[in-house]
Amino acid sequence: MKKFFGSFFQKRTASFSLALLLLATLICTGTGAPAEDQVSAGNKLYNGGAKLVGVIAGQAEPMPASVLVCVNCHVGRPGQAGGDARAAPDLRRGWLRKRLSRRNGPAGRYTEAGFCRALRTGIDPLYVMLPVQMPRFTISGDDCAALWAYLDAPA
Amino acid sequence: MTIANQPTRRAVLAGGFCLTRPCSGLANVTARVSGHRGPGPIVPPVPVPPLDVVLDGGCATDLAAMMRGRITALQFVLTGCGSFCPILGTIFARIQDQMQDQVGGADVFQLVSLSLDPVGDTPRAFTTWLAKFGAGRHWRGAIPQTGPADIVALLQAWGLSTGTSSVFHTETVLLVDRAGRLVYRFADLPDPASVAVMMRRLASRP
Repeated sequence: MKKFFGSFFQKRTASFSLALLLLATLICTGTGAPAEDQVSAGNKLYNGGAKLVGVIAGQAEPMPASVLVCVNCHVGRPGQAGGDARAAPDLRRGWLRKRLSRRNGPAGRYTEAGFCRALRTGIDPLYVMLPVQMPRFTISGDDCAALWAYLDAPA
Repeated sequence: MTIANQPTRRAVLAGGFCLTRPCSGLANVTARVSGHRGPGPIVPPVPVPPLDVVLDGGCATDLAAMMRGRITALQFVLTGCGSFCPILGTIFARIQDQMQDQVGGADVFQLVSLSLDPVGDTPRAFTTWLAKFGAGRHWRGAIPQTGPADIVALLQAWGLSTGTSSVFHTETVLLVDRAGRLVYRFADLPDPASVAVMMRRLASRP
């Protein structure tokens, strides 16, 4: 019996150690963080290296991609040219992740799903309509995830 | 019913209210209610004031004078602005496309992009900016020969938001009738087709 339990605990300890090792590996290799190529794809979308398709609310025809580049209006990353934070929100992690209240309503913050919905429909996570100056985009799930990964990545 | 004095929905409701309450008259209510300066008819029409401008080709003229005798769509841009101005340029390019037969015909219509940056914008910069959008000869760029403060005062007199003092901008489009009066204000970044329709309606007025 003693031998049985000894063997059992040895196996459990070994399994636990293996799990810990795996967890440590995941943390060290950063598998939980977005892949580098995803951030890179988001960088291209944000800065005009890849085209976005969008329309101004109330208009039938999409705008040319060249006039819908995010960084035309929103602030760029440090060291990059970009728009003016007084003209459009600074879409970096600090703003997106910050709990904000709009129109005296309950506070909330952007998530990837909320961000993608806002891009497509113009309705933000707090169900407030974005201004007409913000285009409504036809964007794939992969592209939106890439854009979110780029914006949400630590500076 | 003309475009300029078409009552707003709010004015009609207010007029209806007058049937049950003593009011000074529907005409007065219409004028007062329409004075909220949101998108829609501008009642009463506001004359474009005399304003010395230099056009994209370098010619000096008076803004009010160049608008008399034509139906004009007026927008406000900065040639160095990369945010909303390219969208405004695209909107005017699409209006131009839709008005192609009329614009090229009897000199009835014109498009005017008025600079909000009289210090930074030059006729040459405006020529380059207009060329990017394929502007024809009925789409002109005009640079006021006045200080930025005067432009802010002008826009505010027209009831237009000028944003913050450092990034002042407005993305509306105004319509000016043949008499050189502002008669209609569109919401920000308006649908080109709607502007074209309204210009034709204005042109059909005697």
